[in-house]
Amino acid sequence: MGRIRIAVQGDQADPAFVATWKGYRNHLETITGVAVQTFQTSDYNSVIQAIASGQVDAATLGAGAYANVDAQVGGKVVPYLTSRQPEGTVGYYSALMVRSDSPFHSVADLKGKSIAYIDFNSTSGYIFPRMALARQGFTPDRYFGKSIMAGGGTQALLAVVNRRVDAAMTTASGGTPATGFTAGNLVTLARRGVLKRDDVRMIWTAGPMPNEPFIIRTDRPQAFVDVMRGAMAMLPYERPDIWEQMGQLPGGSLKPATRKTYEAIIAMHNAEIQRQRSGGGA
Amino acid sequence: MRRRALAAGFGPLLVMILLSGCNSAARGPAPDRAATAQLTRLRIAIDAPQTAPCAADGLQWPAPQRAYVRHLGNRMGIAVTLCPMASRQDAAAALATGKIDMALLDAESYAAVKTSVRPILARRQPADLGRVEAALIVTQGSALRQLAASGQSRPIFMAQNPVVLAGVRQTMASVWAPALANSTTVISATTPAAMAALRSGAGDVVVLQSAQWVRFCRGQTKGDTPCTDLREIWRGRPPAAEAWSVRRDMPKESWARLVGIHLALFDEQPLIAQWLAPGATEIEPTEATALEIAR
Repeated sequence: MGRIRIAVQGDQADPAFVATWKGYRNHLETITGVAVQTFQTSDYNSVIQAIASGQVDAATLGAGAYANVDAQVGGKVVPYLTSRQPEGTVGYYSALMVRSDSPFHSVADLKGKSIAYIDFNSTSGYIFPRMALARQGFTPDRYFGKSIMAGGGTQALLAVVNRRVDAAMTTASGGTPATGFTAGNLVTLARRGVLKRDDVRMIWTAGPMPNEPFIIRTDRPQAFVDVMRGAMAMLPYERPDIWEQMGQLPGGSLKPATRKTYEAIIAMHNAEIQRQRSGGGA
Repeated sequence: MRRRALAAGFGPLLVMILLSGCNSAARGPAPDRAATAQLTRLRIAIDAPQTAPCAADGLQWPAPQRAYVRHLGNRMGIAVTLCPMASRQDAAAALATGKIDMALLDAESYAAVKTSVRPILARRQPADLGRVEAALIVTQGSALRQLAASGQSRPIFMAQNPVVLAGVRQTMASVWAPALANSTTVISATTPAAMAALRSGAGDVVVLQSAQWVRFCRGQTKGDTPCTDLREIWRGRPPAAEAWSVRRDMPKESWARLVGIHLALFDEQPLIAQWLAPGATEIEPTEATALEIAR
């Protein structure tokens, strides 16, 4: 291969975004001796189409977005790694947020109210929590009065803060509902000064769901897959500086993943597609 | 039908348009072509009653051992042989002198060859947390400057996550006296409480997982700088019991490929993995100092 092309889904609101992937690119070039190009976007669909069409060789994206890719091209794209938190956990949560000064304290208080989801392809911001709500008797399409796709966790939370919607489905990680969360949309935005932590309240969680996969095209040489897996997985041990530039924490790591790791998410995604095609509510 | 045809025709163009809107990063400096050098053969030490010539197969070899050689040969694209070694010291010496290319070493056998050899892979143990990276934190005004001086200190542990706390204690037991590593004198419920206890003089040093320290220092709000009066004096993991090691001059791509192939073994070739790493559920990469006690 004359060059390696990787699409990475990120958040352009993050001021550290440009620096985040430069070290990663340099690391891969040093290992492989081949030029590496990264395509960075916060848009789910760009990454999905780029990897599904073969325009890039590998990508990082959310589990739900991978499920979308799987539905399009099946085994032509597979996970090869996933991230693991320093606590040893390999999952994260959906968190339903409302304004702190609102009268809403549980999902039961939100009947007929408006909700912002992140994106149709978002695992934590759409696919997983909707299934969980339905299992608890709250069929989302009928239970909420209005729903919007905010386009990102940042936008979803801001929609709540700005009173555009009553609630937002966001991402929470770095802990559990029992221990509290140390990462996710709220923590990140509070740290950036976009909002204050006590502007909003968490009233419901669902999870855990598997962390985001690193995915790769299987029509590329096996040696490329093996080198990519090794080069990426060694990062936290070999180049902890780059690992932290990527927004990761010391002690976190990457572990092998396969399609099986994401079977439950794929099944949820496919059920959601089926529901949309049949016009049914969920 | 027409819509589908159009979608097929414009699919690549659509993707180009979508990606052109992305932040396509410029290429970095010209890659180092020397990095593309690769191993031309792979000779791996294997424990045996006596040292013997390397071989690609053996009638008495167990099936997973033979499968390992075949699998590695196929995936590396080079000849792979196993080299019987009577001791880890023999294997380390053979590795250092270029007679073999990879060996499972322990701290003792590694110590003699560490200038030319480094670990790259180990069993992940324990399976959940792995070797926990701990950090020691003191106030800026503290006289404590390094790990060695902390052995007589009054530690403050952080108990927010009991599993992590146990891992942190295990890490400290590799560098401190067991009584100190298991001290229960001051245990704080959260990181802010631990730092408050440190500032109040209730203890000399906060002991916590490095990730907990980094998270704390990132602050809660914009402009929050909770660590300016604090200082990290040490960060480290406990040594691995043993690790697959290679010469430090191994071509980088071959090194990455070896890591990538071995990481996937438990998913792709579980019988080989169980033979190679009995009792483990995962093989993971290691840092270059994984067979040394962090000082």
